[in-house]
Amino acid sequence: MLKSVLKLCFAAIAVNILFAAAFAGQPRVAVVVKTLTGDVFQLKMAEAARDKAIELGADATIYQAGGQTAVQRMVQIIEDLITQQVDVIVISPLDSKAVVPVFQQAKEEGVIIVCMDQVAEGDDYVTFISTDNYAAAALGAEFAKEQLGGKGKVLVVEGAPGSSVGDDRKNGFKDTIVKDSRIEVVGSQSGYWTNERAMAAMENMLQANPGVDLVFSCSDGMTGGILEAIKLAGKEGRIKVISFDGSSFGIELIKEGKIIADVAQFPIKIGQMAAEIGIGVFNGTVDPASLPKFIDSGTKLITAENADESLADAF
Amino acid sequence: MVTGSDEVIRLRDVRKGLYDLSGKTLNRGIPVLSDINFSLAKGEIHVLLGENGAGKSSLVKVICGAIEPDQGKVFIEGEEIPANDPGKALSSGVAIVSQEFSLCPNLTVAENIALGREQIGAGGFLDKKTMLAAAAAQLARLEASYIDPSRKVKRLPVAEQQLVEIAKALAAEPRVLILDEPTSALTDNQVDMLFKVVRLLKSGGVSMIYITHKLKEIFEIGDRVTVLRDGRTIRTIPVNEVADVGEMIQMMIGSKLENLFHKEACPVGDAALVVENLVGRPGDQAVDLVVRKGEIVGLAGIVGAGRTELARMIFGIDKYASGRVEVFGKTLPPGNPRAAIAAGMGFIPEDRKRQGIVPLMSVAENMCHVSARRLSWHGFVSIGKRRKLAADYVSRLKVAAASLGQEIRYLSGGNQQKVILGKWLSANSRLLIFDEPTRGIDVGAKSAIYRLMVDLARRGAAILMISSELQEIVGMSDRVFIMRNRGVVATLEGGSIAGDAILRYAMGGEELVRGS
Amino acid sequence: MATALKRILSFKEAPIVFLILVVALLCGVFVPNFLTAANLVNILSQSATVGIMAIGITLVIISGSGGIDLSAGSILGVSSIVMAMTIIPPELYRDTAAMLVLPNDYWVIFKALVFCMGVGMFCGFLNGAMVAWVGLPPFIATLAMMTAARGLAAYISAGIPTYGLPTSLVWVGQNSLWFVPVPVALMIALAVIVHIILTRTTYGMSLLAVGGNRETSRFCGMNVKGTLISVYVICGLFAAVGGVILSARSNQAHPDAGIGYELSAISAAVLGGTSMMGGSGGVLGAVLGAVFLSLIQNPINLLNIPVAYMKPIMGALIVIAVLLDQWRKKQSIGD
Repeated sequence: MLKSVLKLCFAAIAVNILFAAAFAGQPRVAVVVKTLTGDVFQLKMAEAARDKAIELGADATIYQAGGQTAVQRMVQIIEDLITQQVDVIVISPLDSKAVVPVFQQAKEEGVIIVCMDQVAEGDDYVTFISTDNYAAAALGAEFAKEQLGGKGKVLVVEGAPGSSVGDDRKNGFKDTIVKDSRIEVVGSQSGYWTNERAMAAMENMLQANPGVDLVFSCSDGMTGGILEAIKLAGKEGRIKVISFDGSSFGIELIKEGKIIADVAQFPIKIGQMAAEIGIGVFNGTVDPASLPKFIDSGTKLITAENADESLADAF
Repeated sequence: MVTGSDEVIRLRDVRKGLYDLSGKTLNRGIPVLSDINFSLAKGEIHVLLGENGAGKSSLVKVICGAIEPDQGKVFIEGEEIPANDPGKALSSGVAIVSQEFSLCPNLTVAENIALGREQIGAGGFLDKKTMLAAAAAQLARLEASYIDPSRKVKRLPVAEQQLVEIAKALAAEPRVLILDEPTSALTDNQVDMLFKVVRLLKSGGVSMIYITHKLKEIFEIGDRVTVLRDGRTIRTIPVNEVADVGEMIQMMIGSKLENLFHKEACPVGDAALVVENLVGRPGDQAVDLVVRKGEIVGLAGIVGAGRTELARMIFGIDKYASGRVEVFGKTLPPGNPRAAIAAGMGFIPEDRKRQGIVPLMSVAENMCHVSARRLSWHGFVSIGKRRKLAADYVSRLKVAAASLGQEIRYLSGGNQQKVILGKWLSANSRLLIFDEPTRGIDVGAKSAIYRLMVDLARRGAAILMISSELQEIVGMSDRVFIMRNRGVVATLEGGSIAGDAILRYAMGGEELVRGS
Repeated sequence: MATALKRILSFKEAPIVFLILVVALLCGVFVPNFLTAANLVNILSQSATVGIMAIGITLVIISGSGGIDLSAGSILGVSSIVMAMTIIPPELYRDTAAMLVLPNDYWVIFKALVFCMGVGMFCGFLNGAMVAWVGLPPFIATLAMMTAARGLAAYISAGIPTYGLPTSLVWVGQNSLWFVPVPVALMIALAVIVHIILTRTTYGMSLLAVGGNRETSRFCGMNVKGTLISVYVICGLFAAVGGVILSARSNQAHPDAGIGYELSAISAAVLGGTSMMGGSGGVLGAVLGAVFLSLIQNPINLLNIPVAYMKPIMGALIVIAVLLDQWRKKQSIGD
């Protein structure tokens, strides 16, 4: 008797909570990214996360820190969001350490955090969804090895110094390409994720190493500049280029024969998954304890062979 | 009445050469102070009187230890102050209310009064309450309780700032108080109030050195008066033994050498400058004045009488409320120096460094700043023409420069002044305003500048000369306008131009003279 | 000998020339592939954008009383976006997919250049008006413009960078006249023109006078406010020209283009012997300063030195250059 009363009570409470959630309206989701200016990857990822959240019945807004290095601004945004008592923060952190204190604070306030593309330290977020940048770059390196026939000289144009994503790509490529081969990495310099600076770094590296066979660009956002540098040095067609990202821009370059491969990642998929998981945890349909700390959003090597089909789901 | 044992301060045979801002003696020119003998008795109000630059401020700076004398001794309460211990005077109870305010504009009244004696409360924080109360008490002594101690100083009118300055000095409970022209910013009511406090302090045994330009104040509160001239103490007399104002004025002026000026009478032509009903700020007195071709007209008055302000308005640097300025028959638009220059006016400003020269540019370039357009061809400067013109004026004005390309900042004051003059002459200016033309210039160069001015007048130029040096006004002027409180109070002409008359009008002593 | 040295030291460009020679000599000895014609041409081309901006910024610094333009980099960004958006049809602009291939429509390109420079000059005019008429400190006025112009660039471009410009425009950034790359030729030409304006015209004289002593200039009847506004307009114009060069060289218009370039340009001006106090300085030195900045970047790339070492070295070199300049001034005071 008592048992059934208790059961009834629990059921009532459960219904109540569900209703409360329904009455409180939609979960409030904040999508926080580095910048939407000049970074198509972040733009598409953010839009995908927002659109998915709205599709799932949430109220979603995009916030941008406003720069590739605007760490303080991002921390402020998170603090404000905690004050506004949002339910879910889907975020691409600018700096893996700087956000840790605000993440802790958010967790204490019951805010659900999902990381995209770039990870944070600690375990205050429910999961981290990203390309496995190291493995993806290794994929590109294997293809490069094959194309060079196991010997030659290569250059790497890195991302901004201190970016873990950039470092993973650089290391994944470098570690793999020298393994079991006579290939040498003769230069590796930062292009700071921008076209102009990648161009200058590439020009200068080409002066020191006129006989390079292949360049690995850590982002499609720098490949345009690298190609200009190669063209200006009069080495068009003699230096192979492999890029990273798999944006439609990169794929078009493959179709035009300007680069030989692009390691694809899927920002739209990352954004959608992040929104789904965040809202799932909020609704209780996803158990955060059962989630892995890292979810690989997958990668794919795009070459001339699969360029056309890849264009369909590229960003 | 005054005996040796009652002496609070004594200066014996003090001498000080020209010094820079940090008080270091410079090895040139006539000394600022020489053969200074001065004593201050206990409970006495001792007035220091003298023209601008007579050495009054330097004398009190020696007493305060702000500058170190080259020779002589300073005693405070019979004890000699060692030359290497400038803080000694302040620690033995000397406080000064100086002419330049020493208040921090961004701090409150209370903070300023407490500055250096901050009340530290628990935990090393400032005890604001005690500070405010202490400030209020000091202000009450001056019957200035209407000043809110928690207000920022910069928000107070100048007269109230002056009172805060005095309250600050009193807060140290000084035994000797030095007041350097304390009433220049005060209204008559406030002055009466200040005098009440001064008498109160005196009865409390505080000795005071009182510097002023206002002659009647001497008779109101002074016990003794010491007249300074050219850095020397001329005479010290008890105030009740002073026969009349003229006697003191005569002591201040002395008998000056006339041949420094080379003044000669020049034929006078039409009016070059006509100023009619010029009112700077609403409420000022309207000013009328005329300067004719061939004339040197002096503009006299004590510092702050509004002479430079008037000249700036005439030249168009500052705008004016109403009135008319006419130059060579053309009415000038207000606030437009270009129009003034085009009409033939030139201005040799008092602050050479800030307003007269461009220190980083060469002698030749400085010489051609006004006539640049004439020396150019479609906007391009003709270097050759510029050199020729500069060389011409350098030799005519006898400018001592290493080369035409030398940066002007390396020239002496007198030579800089000559370049500035050359700048206007080369631009064909025929009406020149000289604001303190010989300030900070040695005697030789002074004489050269005077010669140039007379020469200009002879060629038909009109000159308006502002000067705080009486002998310069007397020696150079054909006519003199005397200003006080931003208005012209008197005009002297020909034989009536005399030092004592000018001083009397400038210092507001004419009523006293008429009365006596 | 001593007089020869003194004569050399009387040029304000002496320290930067000395530094360039020292670094070039060291690199020539220790860095392989440094002393090749192609590499030296590279260094010069890379310095062109900053060099052209530095010319404008030098004039602003000379104008005195804290004259500085922090907005030059942002003005570069917004004016190059305006240029690209005039050329690229809107439907193609939103297409981030491909390297665009655009026709050489000269009328459109001309219009684009006019708009680009017009925007640069307008931003500069607003800077000048804030400084001269409103009386804001240049640091604050141009800081506001820096944020505003960058925001405008992001807004009108919707944050999208675009690749591919008409070939005749890219020619300006990538081709050479004989051996001299067009950007370098342009930088040298502009530097010489502005140098002549600064040293040989009445305008230049009034600028130096206004910068050296604003009060004196008023007393001499110079148009102080007009002169102030004009230097900010020129600075905005040169930032826009820098934007054309940068876009043409990288064949791209990017809303974030030129971030931080204003600081490089200010460094270049200071390296070139321009005094932050105003009233003295030269544009030839500023261009040399820009060359020096890309010169020291070059061996870092050639030798594959990690970036972390680069910035402290650059900071140290700027300090050394300024110390050298002060020493030079002391030496030449002698007479």
